[in-house]
Amino acid sequence: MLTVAQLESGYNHLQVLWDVSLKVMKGEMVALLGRNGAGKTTILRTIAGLLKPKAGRIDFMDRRIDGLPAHEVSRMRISFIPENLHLFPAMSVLDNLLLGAYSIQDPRKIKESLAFVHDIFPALAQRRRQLAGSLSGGEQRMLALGRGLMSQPELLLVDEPSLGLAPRMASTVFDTLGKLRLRGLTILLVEQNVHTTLQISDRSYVLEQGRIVLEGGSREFLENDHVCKTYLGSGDE
Amino acid sequence: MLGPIAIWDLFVTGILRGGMYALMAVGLSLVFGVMKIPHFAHGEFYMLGAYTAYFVYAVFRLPPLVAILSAAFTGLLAGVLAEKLMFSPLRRRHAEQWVLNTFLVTVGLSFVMQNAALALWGGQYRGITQYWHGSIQLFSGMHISVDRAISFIIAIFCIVGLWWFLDFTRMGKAIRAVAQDETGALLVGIDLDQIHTITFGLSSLMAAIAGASLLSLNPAYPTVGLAPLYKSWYVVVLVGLGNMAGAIPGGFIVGLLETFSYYAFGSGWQDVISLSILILILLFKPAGLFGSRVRNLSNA
Repeated sequence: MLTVAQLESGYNHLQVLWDVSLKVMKGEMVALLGRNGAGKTTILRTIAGLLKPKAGRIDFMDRRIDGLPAHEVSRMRISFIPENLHLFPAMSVLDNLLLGAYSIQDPRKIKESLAFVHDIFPALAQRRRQLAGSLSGGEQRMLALGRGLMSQPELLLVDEPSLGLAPRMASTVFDTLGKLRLRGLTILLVEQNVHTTLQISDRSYVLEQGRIVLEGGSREFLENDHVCKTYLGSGDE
Repeated sequence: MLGPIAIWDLFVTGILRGGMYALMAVGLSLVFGVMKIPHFAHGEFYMLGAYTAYFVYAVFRLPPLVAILSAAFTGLLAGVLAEKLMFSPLRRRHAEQWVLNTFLVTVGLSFVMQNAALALWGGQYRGITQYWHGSIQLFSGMHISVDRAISFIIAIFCIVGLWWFLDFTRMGKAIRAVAQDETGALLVGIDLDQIHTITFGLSSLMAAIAGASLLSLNPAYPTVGLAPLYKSWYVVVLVGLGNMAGAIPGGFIVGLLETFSYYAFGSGWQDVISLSILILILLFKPAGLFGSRVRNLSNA
């Protein structure tokens, strides 16, 4: 579904990614692991169109998408939920969600999306009139996820969904991601919380200094102590 | 010293004056809030509106509303052109130092438009005595010309219309989204170029309407836009940059302030008084009267 080939990317004169190739199949949950600064977020930002790649190509459902501006990538049903959320703080929860469906014209489809999101995050339905900026950290993250789902995406790019959340909240987020996957969404996930991520994802890529150094099934990684210690630090606890 | 009736009359005068300030300031605020452009050519769109209305009304002898609508259309068109020809290419090529660069561009645009007007239409005043005859007498005995009253109604109508547009339409919500978080807007699929063009067009449209409907007060001439430009900047700085909701009460506050200081100290002093008050307010509230620490479009 998503193919990234020999991707090189970065910020202005600072190249972060070197020769990154990866694949995500339909219905899979794939995790990108690695230390801080390894380039995980850069990969997501480049796929989402917020960064222009310096070389390489990105294909999504048989269409070349590298170099497309971010709003067009979003209209191809790729939703990027960034680590710092980028919500619209002075608008209501409902308006934030409706803007998530900006590229959908059909009002019936928008209603359908809204019902779907309210079903997954009932809290967002209760607080629909509240301003997004007044929500708690966990609720804001749910809102960002919900907004990303409103466009009925095929592929979800999720950056650090558990960052800054209390453990219970974090596990709710992971549960939600699992549920979304069961509903047929394809997810590319970046997470610091290595163990949980390996438990819920199908496959993983490990990044080090902007290069992919390892790939494989998440379960094998989890059982392989050497991998955990060498590449991922000694876990997250 | 001031009787209640005199105060009432001054109040009405101030409110009438403030409506147009609010209309100008809202456009300025919109452009700054959404596009981060400190717009110093806003007055030239006012000028363009005044000239258009003059030609349509006084030369072609069409009805006043047609004159004002043509001015609105010209303003919209000029605004869209300016955005497409100048700000859009600039943003594509060089996004750094955006605020400073666009400031310089708008100053340049202002010079070009003023001198183009001078070259095309000469330096003479082109005014009309009034669009509509007659006056209304208020219970206090004060007379307001119908012209003045209608221009006020137009201002209010435009402001309410803009509000409705921003609050209830898909496009309006997208404009507010861009003002609040550009990256977020991109991520939900909003085309920034399109939003910027519409925003600049709308702001120019409102300036042109202001210029057209005040034609009987301020005849069209090449630098007629300077005074309204300064006034609207005054309002915008007073309430806080980019605070669109604040620009409306701000316009009325400035209108009232000027009217009362004009009455109390005479015409030479009104700017001194109102600018001194601005300095005082900024000393104690650097972010502006309604400014918060974070610049945003809260409640916009």
